[in-house]
Amino acid sequence: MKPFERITISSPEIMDYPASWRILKNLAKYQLLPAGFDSPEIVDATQMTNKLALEAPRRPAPANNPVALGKRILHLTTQPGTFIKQCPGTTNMLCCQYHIVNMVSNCPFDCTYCYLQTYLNQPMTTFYVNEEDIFSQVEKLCERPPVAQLRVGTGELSDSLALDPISGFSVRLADRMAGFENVRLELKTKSKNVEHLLELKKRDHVVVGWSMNPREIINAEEHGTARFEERMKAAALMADEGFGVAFHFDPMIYTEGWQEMYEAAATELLANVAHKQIRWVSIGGLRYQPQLKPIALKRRPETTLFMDETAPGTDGKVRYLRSQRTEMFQFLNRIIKERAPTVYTYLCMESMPVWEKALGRMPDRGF
Amino acid sequence: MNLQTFDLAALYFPKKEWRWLRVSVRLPELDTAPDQFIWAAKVDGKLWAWHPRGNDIEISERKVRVLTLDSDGTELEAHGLFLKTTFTAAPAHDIEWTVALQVLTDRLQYQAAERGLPKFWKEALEACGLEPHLGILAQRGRFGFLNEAEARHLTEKRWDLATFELLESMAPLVRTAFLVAIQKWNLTAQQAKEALNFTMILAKKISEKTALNVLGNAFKSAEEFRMALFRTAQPELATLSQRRIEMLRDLKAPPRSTVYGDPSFESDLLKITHTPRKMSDFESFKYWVSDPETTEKLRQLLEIYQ
Repeated sequence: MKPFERITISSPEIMDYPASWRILKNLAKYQLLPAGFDSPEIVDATQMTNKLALEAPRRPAPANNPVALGKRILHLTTQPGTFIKQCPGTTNMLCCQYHIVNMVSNCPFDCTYCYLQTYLNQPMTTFYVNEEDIFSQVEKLCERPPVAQLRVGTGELSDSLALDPISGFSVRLADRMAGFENVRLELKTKSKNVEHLLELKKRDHVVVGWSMNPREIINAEEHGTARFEERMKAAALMADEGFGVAFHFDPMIYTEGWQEMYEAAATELLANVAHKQIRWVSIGGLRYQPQLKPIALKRRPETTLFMDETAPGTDGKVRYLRSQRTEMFQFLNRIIKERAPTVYTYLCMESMPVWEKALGRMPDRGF
Repeated sequence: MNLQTFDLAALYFPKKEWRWLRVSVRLPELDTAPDQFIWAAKVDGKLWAWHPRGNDIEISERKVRVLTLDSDGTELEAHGLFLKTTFTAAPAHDIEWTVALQVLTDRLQYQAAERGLPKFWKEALEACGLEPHLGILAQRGRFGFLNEAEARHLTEKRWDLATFELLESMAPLVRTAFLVAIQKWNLTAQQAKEALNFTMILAKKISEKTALNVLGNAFKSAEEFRMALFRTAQPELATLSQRRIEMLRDLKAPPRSTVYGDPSFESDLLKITHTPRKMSDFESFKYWVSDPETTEKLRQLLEIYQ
């Protein structure tokens, strides 16, 4: 990872939070501070957002998008409101009842299909440093009768672990959740940054989830992320160390030879990671808001991701045709089940008929 | 402000410099239109003039009445006055803001991101009902890739800028052919957007040659043109679409004579024939045809898209 170009804060009071100092210290440790850095600049986030939006179209691809420029600026601020929400899922599609904690927004990785390109109001890589507020909100959520499993994740607006060695958020969050029953913290990632998690004493409530794709797709479309082997090795390490692990074959990409590619990827993965530690595997197809296509093509003209037959779904997102999706999900689910029959699989953001046809069952809460 | 009569030779019309997009109008003769005037502002000692509504001007007279606006004599301020006056008289289409921002950045070398809005831009934005801040301009600024012909087409049709967003990722030859092709037909913005999407798929997935061939074919109607692009780019979806049409025909719709002309029926019919999204879209239609067989057929119809 390259050093950030700017380190900014929303007000001088930001430096009163211990997290701010910890982050600056870690940035120095990993040599990620800008050249000649002295102290963070105080900026107005809205003005900065507007400046990036004006500047972006004049930059060469793939930097020609505010979210791309925002990856180079680290902004520290606080958030007064609620940090936890139920996963928005998607209209008319079945949802897995996931809760999301957003402590970081924007991501150093740069996947071609990333929805953040159309999603973030403020493109800077933003850390919310009032972590005590975040943790107490999470604790409050966890203080419920433990009848059903509560799944909490941090990977909606950023990769959970890509910047975690800098922020140290995940270890702290996991510690705060450790005392509650029937709670799972999922850290979804495309990185290999897991070693800092080994300092956790209690681990069984932590699930490290890797977004997986075949090597060819990772290399072509998931820019800046850990490669297939790196993710697999990190997953094997975590499983051996007593962490729960999960895999998300999401988004599955329809491309020439997809069957061979996904079969090889799933086979290799399941041969190298202890099955008893795999908490769940999700499968989902490429889906995107229609406005993503021109933005992604502008940034990555070489991509072939958006050239297949697609149709808008009932939630307005564009997906492969139903027959195609069903075939892909059915295929991968069969491969996984043949190699690891005990592993729980589910579909992400899919309709009831697709569940029935692809997995041969209706959705449940079998996590 | 100062109203005077000038000889044409004393005036300069910055049509190219400021990239005027509005259609050309003939300025009435002085005798027949005594109130007629044009605006002007000094730029490096010369008067730069424009029509009060920002149109390109055809002038047959040698003399015109000019209302000269006070400015600091720079092109930057004159351009700001041009925007303020013309957008107040006739609010700008989004593409005009894109062009204004390009002129500001490329020609006038003014970096709004660093220096904020230039003089008179706040009033110009407000005249268009827009919040006077950089974010508004940034949204329009990202369409700076559109060339003059494309910008003119958007202005003429008053289409949303996003209609042409995919053009940026398209090879120049295909881009030109696409514009030529759609100019032959009276398409809606949505139809043009879909046609562009299919052209993009053809050019990138099959070949640019195929895209050029399809765009260059002679078609009898806009529908034929659109369907040719659709069928070549998305054959399976086109088949599904055909199946949907057949299934719709198979529905026991009430005789048109009984409901034809009823706006509710027409609107419900349109909803399910054009954009069926969810079962509730069919609910109101079921009011017209409520037997179980039809309901089942509607369910199957919806499943095509889920």
